[in-house]
Amino acid sequence: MTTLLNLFLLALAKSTPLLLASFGGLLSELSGVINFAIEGMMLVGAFGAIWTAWATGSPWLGLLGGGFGGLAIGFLHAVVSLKLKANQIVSSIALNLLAAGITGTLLNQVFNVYGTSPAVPKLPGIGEAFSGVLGLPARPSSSVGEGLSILVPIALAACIVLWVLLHRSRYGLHLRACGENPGGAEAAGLAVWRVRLSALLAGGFLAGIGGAYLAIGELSQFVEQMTQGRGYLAVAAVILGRWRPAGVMAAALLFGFSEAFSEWLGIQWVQVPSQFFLALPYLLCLLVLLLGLGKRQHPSALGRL
Amino acid sequence: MIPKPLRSMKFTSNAMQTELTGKPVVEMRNVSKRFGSLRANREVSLAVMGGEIHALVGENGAGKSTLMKILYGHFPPDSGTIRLNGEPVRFRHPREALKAGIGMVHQQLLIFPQLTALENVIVGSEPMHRGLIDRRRALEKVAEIAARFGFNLPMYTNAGQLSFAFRQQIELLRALYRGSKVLILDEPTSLLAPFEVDRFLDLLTALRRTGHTIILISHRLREVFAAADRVSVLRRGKLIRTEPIAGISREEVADLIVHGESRSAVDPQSRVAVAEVSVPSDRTESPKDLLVLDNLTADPSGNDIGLESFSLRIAAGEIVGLGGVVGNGLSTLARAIFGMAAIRSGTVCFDGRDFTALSIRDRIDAGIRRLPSNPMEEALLPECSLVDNFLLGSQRSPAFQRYGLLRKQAAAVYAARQLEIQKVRYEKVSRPVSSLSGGNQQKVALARVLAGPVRFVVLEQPGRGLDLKARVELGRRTRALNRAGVAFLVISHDSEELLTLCDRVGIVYRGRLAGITPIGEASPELLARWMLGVRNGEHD
Amino acid sequence: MKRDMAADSPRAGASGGDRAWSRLLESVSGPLVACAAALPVCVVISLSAGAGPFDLIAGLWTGAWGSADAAATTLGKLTPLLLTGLAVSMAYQARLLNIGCEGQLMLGALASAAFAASAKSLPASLLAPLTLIAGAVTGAAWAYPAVWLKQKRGVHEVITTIFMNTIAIHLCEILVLGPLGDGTAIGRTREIGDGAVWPPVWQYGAMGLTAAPFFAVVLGFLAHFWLSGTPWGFEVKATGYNPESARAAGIEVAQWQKRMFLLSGALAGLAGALEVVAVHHRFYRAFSPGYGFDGITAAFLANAAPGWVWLSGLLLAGLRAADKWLQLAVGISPSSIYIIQACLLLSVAGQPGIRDGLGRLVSNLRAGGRMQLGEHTRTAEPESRP
Repeated sequence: MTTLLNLFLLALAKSTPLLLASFGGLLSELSGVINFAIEGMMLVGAFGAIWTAWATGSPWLGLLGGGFGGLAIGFLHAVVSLKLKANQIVSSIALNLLAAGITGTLLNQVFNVYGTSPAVPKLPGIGEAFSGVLGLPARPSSSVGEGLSILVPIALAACIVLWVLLHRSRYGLHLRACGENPGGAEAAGLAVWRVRLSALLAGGFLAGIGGAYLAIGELSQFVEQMTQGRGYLAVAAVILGRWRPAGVMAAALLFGFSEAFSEWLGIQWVQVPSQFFLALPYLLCLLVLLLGLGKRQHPSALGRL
Repeated sequence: MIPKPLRSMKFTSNAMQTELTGKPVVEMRNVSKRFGSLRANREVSLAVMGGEIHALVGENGAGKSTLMKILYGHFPPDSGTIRLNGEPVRFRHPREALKAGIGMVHQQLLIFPQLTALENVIVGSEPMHRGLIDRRRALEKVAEIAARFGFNLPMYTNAGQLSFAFRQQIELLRALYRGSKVLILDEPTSLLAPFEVDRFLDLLTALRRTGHTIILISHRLREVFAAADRVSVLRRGKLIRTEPIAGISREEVADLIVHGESRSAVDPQSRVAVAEVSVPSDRTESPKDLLVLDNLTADPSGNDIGLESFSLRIAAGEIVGLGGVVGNGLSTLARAIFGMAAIRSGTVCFDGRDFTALSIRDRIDAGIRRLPSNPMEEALLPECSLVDNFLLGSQRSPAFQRYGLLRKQAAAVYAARQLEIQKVRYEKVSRPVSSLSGGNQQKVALARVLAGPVRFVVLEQPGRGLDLKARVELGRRTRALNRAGVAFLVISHDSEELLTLCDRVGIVYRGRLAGITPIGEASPELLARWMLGVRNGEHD
Repeated sequence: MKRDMAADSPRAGASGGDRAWSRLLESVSGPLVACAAALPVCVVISLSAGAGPFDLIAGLWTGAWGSADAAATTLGKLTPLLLTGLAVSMAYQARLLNIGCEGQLMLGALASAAFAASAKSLPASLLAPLTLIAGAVTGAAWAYPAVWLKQKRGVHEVITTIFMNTIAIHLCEILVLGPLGDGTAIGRTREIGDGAVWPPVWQYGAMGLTAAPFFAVVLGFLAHFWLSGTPWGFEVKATGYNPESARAAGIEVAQWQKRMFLLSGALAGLAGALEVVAVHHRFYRAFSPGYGFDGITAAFLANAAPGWVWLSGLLLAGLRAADKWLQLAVGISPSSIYIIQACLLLSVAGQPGIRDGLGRLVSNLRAGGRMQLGEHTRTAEPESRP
C-alpha cells in the first residue's frame, strides 16, 4: 500500500515541473504564438533560481529569480517572433540554444565550475513549510511529508486558477481571441501585440518556475542541461490536451506518472538497462500521440501574425 | 414557404429622411492613401448623410475597402481629413472608431472560430461581475438586440461551425452591441443565397428606421438599387461621382464603374454589366456525354460537407451551372471531379474512362482543368518568378526538359510569349508573380490553367475571384473554347451569374443534386426553392 | 509604362531603382546582419569573463584557423556539420523541419560501425560503400516515423523528431554497452575493418585530413544542382512554396514531402557514418557533441539554400574547433559558442522584420528625395488634426 502511495506522490512530484511548464506553453499557444522554447525557459529558470538563492540565501527569492529568468526568454521570443516576424519554430530553437549557452557560461563565470553548481538552499517540503508557518516544532521526517516539495500543491493550485482565468475572465477571452483571429481581435479593439507579449511573459514566468522546481525543489543545485527535454514534453502535453486546460493538466499528469513509473520499474527490474526507463516516458508519449484522434483543434491562428 | 423575389425600389421615405437630417454624419475630405507605389485612394471626398444607406461601388482594387478601413481606423490616411458629426477625428486604431460609434462588418468575416457565438459578439466589451465576465448579463443584452432585429443566432455554438449567414449576424450583432450608429458593410451579400439576401435587405431597412447610418460596399448593383439612397462610384482610387439612386440608372452606374464616364452609345463590346460574362449559345449540340458522375459519395473536403450519391452528366460543348448555399458541397464537388477529394463510392467517368482512382496529373493530361475561386492561393506560386509559374505543371514535358535537366531558356521564352498573348504588363519574366497587379495575376493563372489540350473546365466562383477585366477575358476564352467543343461546369453561389452563363442550371443541396433544368425553364425562384431543399428531381 | 504598372501593382515597395536595392539587400542582408549582430555579443561575453573585449573573437579565429592543426580540425568538423546542415535544408525545401538529425546521426554512426566491424571480410570496394549506405539507410529509417505521424496523424514533426533524439541516445547506449559493443565496459564498438577506413589524403605531422570534407562539399553542390536544375527539384520547391497550388498542378505533394524527409534522415545518418569511417573508426558513447543541432543553425544561416550550407558549415566548424582553445587559452566557457550560435540564428530568423524595417527606411529616403523633385503629389491640405 505504501508503495502505491509513494508512487502516486512521486508521480505528483514528477508532474509538477511539467504542469507549470505546459500551462506556460498553453498561455502562449492560446494567444497564437508557437512556443517550443519552453525547454530554454525552464533551463534559464533553473539557473536563475540557483543563482538568486545562492546570492540571497532565500529559496523563495530563488523561485522568483527562476520565474524572471523564464520571463526573459519569453520576452525575447515575443520580440523576435512578433516584431521581427521570425519563423516561430526556428526562433524557439534558437532560444533553447541561447539558454544552454547562457546557463553554461554563467555557471562557469559565477561559480567557477563546469557541469554542476554548488548546493544552495532549497525550497521546503510541505511538512516543513506548514510547521514553519504554524510555529510548531519540526515533525520527525516521514517518507510522505518530507519528500514532497511545497511547490507541488502550489503548482496544482496555479493550474486551477489558470483554468478559471482562461475561460471566465476578460483577459482569458482576449487571449483566446488573439489566437483565433488576430485581425479580428484588432478590429474588435484589442491590442494584439500587447496581449501576446503578456502571454509570453506570463508563460515564460510559469515555465521558469517549472525549471526552478527542478533545481531548488527536487535537488538543490544546477546541473548543465538539467531539463533533459522536459520542455518538449510540456509542448506535447499542450498538444495532447487539445489546448484545453483540463486536457493539458491530464496530459502533464500522465507524463509525470510515466516518469515516476519508469523510475519505479527501473528499481524493480534491475536486469533491464536503466536507459530503457529513461527513454520510456518519451516512448509512451509517442504512443499516445500515435493513438491520438485525427483532428486536432489548435488555435485557429496559431503561428499567424 | 416560397421566398419573395428581390425587392423593387421604394425610395420616397428614404429621400424624405435624407432631407430631414441633411447634415453629413461622416465626412471624408481629400483622403489619400498609397501603399508603396500603389495609390489606393486619390483625394477622395465623401459625405455620408445621417440616416441614409450610402452605397460605395467600384471594381476590385478601386479603393472602396481601403477608404472604409481608413474610416474604421485600421490605418491612417496619408493626407486628408475625416469629420464625424462635424468634429474632426483621427482614428489610430479600430478601438477608437468603435468608441466613436463606427462599426464595420468586413468582407473577410472576422470571427473567432473556436469561441462561442456569444463570446464572439462581446469580445472587447465584456460585462464584468466581480472580476469575471458576467455571462448572464452578456446573454441578456445580446439576446435583446438580436430579437429586435430578427436574428436567430445560436449563442453557444462555436462560430466555426456556423453558416456564413450566421457568422455575418455575429459581426453585425457585435457592431450593434457596441452601440455603433454608423455601420460599414463590406460586400455583405456576396456569399448569401437569394432568400438570405432578402432577409438582409429587410434588415438594412430596419436598421435605417432605428436611426443607423449605413455605408454599403457592394458590387451587386441589383441590391444596391434595391436598398440604397445614394451611390458613390470609385474608380482607380478616385471618387468619380455621387448621385441619389433615384436620379441614375443601373447601366449608367455600370459605365461609370468600368469606364469612368457614361457612354450613351450602345456598344455591345463595351457595355458589360458588372456581374455578367455573356456567352452566346451558338454551339452545335453534341449529345455525347463527356463527364459522368455516378452515385458519387465523397468525404468532406476543404471547408465543405461531403457528397451523397451525387449523379450528373455533362455533354461535350455544354455549359452547366451548379449553385447552392455555401457549405452544401459545391466545393467538394469541384475537388472531387478534379481528384482532390477522398471518394468513398461511386465513379467519375470522363470520356468513357473511369477516372475515380486516377491522379490529378492524369486528369490534367486528359484535359480536365480547374480554375479555383482563389487563383492566387490555389493556382499560383506567389513568391516564384513568372517563368516558374508557367513552368508549373509542365515541368516534365519534353518541351521544357531534356535528359533530366530543365530547359530554363525555353521556359522563359514560352512565358514571355504567353504574357504577350494575355497582354499582361510585366517587367521581367524573372520577377515574382506577386509583383504584378491583382488583375494581371489572375490572367497569368488563367493562362496557366487553360494551357495545353483542354476538354473540360471546372470554373469555381468566377465572379468572385476575378475582377472585371479578368472576367471579360475569361468570358472571351470560354466562348472560344466552347465553340471548339470544350465543356464547362460553372460552380457559383451567385445564381444570377449562373443564369446568364449556362445552358443548364442546377442546385446542390446537402451534398446532393437538388434539381437541374435547362436555362429556358430556370428562374431565380426555382433555384431558391431547390436551395431550401424542396426537391424536384431532374428536368431534362 | 512603369508608372502605369506601379499604379496597378498592389505590391508595396518595388518600383524602378527600389527593386535593385531590395534585391541586393535580400541576398546579402541575412548573413551579414547575423554576423554583425554576433560581434557585439562576443565582446560582451569576453568582457564578462574578465578578458579583453576582443579576446573572444581573436580566440575563435586562432582556435579555428590559427595553425595547421586547427585548420585540419576545422575542416574535419566541416563534414558532419555540412551534412546535417544539408539534411535540415533539404527537409525544409518541402517546409518540413527535421530536428532529429542528432538521433539519426548517432544511429547511422552506430549502424555503420557495427556493420563495418562485423563484415571485415568483405573486400574494400564493397565494404566502404556499404558502410556508408548502412548509415544512410538507418538514418532514413529513424526519420520515417516522424513523417508518418505527420501525414497520418497530424503530429508536428518537430515534436516527434525531438523525442526520437532522446530515444536514439538511450538506444545507442544500450546497444553499445550490450550486443554491439566490444565486450568491455568502455561502451564502444569494435574497430571497423581496414577496408572501410578512409585514409588521410593530406598529412601534417600527427594531423591528417581525409577526403570526407570534400566529399561533403561535392554532395552539397550536387543537391543544389538537383534542386535548381531538374524537374524533380522544381516539383520539390513548388511543394515547399505552396503545396495547394503544387497539388492542383498535378505534383504529388505528399510523396515529395516524404521523400525529402527520408533523404534528410539519410544525410544525417551518412554524416554519422562518415564520422566513423574518416575520424574515429568506431562508435562510442556520447559520439556526437551536438552536430545534429548545429545542423539546424548551419541550414538556417544559409537560408536553407543547399548551395550555401558549405559556407555556414565552415563558420560553425570553426566555432566548434575553437572551443577547447577558448577554454584553455582564453578562459571562456565553451558554452559561449552556443550563445554565439543562438545570436546568429536569431538574427537570421528575424530577417523579415529587419528587412521590412530597412526597406521602409529606404523607401522613406526615396520618398523624401522624390518630394524634392516634385513628383510626389501630396495634397496642399495639412494632415487631419486630432
